[in-house]
Amino acid sequence: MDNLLVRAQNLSKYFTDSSGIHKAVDGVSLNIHRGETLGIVGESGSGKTTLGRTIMRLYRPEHGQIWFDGKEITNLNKGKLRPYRKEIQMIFQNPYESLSPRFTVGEILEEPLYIQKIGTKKERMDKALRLLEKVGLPRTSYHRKIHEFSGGQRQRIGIARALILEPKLVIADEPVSALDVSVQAQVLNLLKDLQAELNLTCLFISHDLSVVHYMSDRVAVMYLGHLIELAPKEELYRNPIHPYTKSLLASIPVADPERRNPYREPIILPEKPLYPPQLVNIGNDHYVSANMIHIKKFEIESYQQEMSYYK
Amino acid sequence: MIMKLVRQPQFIIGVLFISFLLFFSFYWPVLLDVNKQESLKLMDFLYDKEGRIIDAAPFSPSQVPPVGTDLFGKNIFYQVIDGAKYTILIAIAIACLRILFSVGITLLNPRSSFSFLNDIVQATLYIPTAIIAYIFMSSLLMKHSMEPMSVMKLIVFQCAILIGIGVPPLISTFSREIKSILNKDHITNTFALGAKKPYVYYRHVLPELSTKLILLFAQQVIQTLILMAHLGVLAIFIGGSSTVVLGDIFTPIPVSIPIAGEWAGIIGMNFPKLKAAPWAILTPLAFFAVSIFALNLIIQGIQNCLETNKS
Amino acid sequence: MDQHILHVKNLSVSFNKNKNKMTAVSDVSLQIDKGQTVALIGESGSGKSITSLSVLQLLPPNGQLEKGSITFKGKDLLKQSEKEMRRIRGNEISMIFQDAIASLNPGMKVGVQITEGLKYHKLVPKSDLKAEALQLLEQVGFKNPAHIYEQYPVQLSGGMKQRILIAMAISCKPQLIIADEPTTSLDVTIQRQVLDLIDNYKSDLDASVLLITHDFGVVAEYADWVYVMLGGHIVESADVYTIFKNPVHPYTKALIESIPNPEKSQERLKSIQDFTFEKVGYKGRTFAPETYTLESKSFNAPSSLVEVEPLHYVRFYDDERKVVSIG
Repeated sequence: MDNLLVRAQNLSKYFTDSSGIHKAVDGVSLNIHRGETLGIVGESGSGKTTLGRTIMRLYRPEHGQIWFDGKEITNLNKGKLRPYRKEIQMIFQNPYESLSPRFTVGEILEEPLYIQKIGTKKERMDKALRLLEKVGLPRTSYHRKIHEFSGGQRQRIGIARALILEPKLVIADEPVSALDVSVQAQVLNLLKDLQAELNLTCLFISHDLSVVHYMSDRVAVMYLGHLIELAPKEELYRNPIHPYTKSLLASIPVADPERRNPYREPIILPEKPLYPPQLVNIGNDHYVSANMIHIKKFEIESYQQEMSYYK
Repeated sequence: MIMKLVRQPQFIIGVLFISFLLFFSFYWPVLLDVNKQESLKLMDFLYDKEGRIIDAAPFSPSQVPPVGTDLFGKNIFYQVIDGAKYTILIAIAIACLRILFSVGITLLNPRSSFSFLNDIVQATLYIPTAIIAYIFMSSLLMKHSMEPMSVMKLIVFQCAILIGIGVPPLISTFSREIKSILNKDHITNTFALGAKKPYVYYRHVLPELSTKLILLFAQQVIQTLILMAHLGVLAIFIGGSSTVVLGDIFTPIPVSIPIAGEWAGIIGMNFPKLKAAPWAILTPLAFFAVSIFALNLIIQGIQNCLETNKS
Repeated sequence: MDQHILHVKNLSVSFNKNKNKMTAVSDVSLQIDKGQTVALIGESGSGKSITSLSVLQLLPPNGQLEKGSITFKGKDLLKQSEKEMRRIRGNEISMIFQDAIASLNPGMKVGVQITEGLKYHKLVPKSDLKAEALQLLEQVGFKNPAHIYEQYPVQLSGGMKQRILIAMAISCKPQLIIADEPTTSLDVTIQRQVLDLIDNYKSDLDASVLLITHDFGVVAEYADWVYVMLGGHIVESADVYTIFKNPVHPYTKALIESIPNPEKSQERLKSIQDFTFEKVGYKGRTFAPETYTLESKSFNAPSSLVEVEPLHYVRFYDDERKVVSIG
């Protein structure tokens, strides 16, 4: 299929430490289409960051396969992987840590080009200046040191650095969670504008359901290393099926005191199943990880819901 | 960083003192307008104007200003000044090589925890290094006395021992330090761009480590100086020694004479005659103390710098 | 006699940093009534945490209380002796900190730890401490308190630790809980559980809560009264319904509207830059702070809170400046 940029099949990444094997990502399959933004939402420890880094091949998966742009990159070694590094870029969570504090903005922006040996010195500088403008920073920032910038500005620089290689896929790992609320909105708007302008394909990772909803076309919910639900965002937010997704949606605080609800549904945090059930399509591109019995129940429920729409 | 260092008074004083001492040590015959051979010659007896013997070596500071002679009648002050260059340069060279080797070894495999090495370092932390060095050094000297080697070769071997015993603790320091740097987001960021290891080490890890390196280097110089002083007392000299038997036939006193003229040698050589000629030991000891003090000033200056950097 | 349980009046706090005096909080007044949850909302550096620390007089050594008064149940806290303050801390006012990991002693069983306050204030005989601890653990939602009692902090997850902290905070049945960003580092599902716990405690004992947060969503769900802080000043205060229905200060507007809302399909989020301070006025007056920028987070010129409608206060500049348009 030409429309697929990334296809991950049954991907697993385990970490071992003194307490044993920790299955950070366990049997996750997903596709990312060209030009779409796939949001991944989950709590800390759900493996969403590991999934992002494994798709980027910063980690080597224990099981499963990854195709990028029609070619399999699961087992490529470092040398063979280098061309792909240019195609997949990452925006990190904490702009205070992800940008080297010793560099000037110019050096930070040009470093990717230098590493990938693209362009002459002059061309690299031109490109860096162009991107500075694109992310809304003055050209004079070029010679300034990174520590002179505030968190929001640093994250703009982080975005510019990720985009300078013109990647096909950008993985944004909690890009706004370290920022103040009023700055968050600016950075999210910038990302959204750039997405539309450059027709970026994006994997947007966040723990914040509202932010994911704002940024994404489709949303995947991760829980304890498993992908438990995947659907277009409106479908997911309107019709969550998995009990965990329901709890997650129910616990978003509603920014409206008039609709404060004294009765709250109990939060269901299911145990981790031993074998991840397969994702099952229940219509509307809506996939749920569940076994057969549950699916029957879901089908009936969604049928009833559909009926109620027509009434 | 360098500019900040230059503005630290302690650092300046320390550096000036050490460089002045070295300069003086190389050019003292010119500066004091004395003949080097003449002033370092052996002088068994002191004669008055009529050529009569008034005293036998060692001579006190009042007889031979400024600080007297050793038991062969050699002027201690000139000896100490002349020995400064060997002492300090050897200490600096050893410290330098220790740092180089340990960083090099750590960077060969920065992800390894060197746990075995760490255990050894932990276990031997409370054994004075002088004793460990003494064991190695004395066996080397034993071998030297059986089948003599050239002085150069002996110095190289001795330095190798002095370097070797300093490397393991440094490796465990550096491996911890480098690992924490490698875990930072901006390093991951750079690797994600497809950068090769040497590039990352050179551009990111070493600059971040640089202040720490300078600090550790100064500390290592001090450690080496102290170690050399201790070894001198134990009659182990860099460059080896020859043993001369002094005293009369009933009470022979074997005295080791260092071949190279460094301070530790002067101490060790005069140690058996501590009561007769205390000045012969106190003077080089004082120079040790002052040099270490100067180095401590340098360290202080660097640390001040690091603190202002942080805030 | 004051009917407010806590009344902070004209509080100013400054810090000495590198021989410069920095004003962190200036002229902050707030009141908390019995049974009320009051939210203090602002971003990092707005002085909200400093305000709460001054209530307990736990300011860092370089911080100084310049002027103002803090009255708790009719007593002036600034005039109390250190001994008396120690009795009040934990016993009558308790605090829940953001960083659960740092607030717990790693070498102590959590069960023992939560009754530290009771032991210290000698509220319960020693023999009953364990029973009390088990009961507290159950109260904060642990299903097997006896098992949790034996655990050390490292063995618990972040949300569990935060619940232990709440158990500690409510152990002495304080009348006021100060919760300083209690859920910032927690996941949404746990955030809700933690806030519900605090809320339940409040309604059960008719206690009061000072909730310090940066999240207007949390405010909407739990608070009765809201103070918005910016650059050390309170810039707007009203009850929670008013502030969401009719926010006046542009900063408050920006904070409310910059939260993405899944229920509305938004094309773009409004961000702070969309609300310029100079051009917007309100009924002939200019908003303070006018010179607020994201970089400096500071402003000057005398300003004061003005009642724009009954019990709804907004900070304006004192001198009447010409205003271009009415926002």
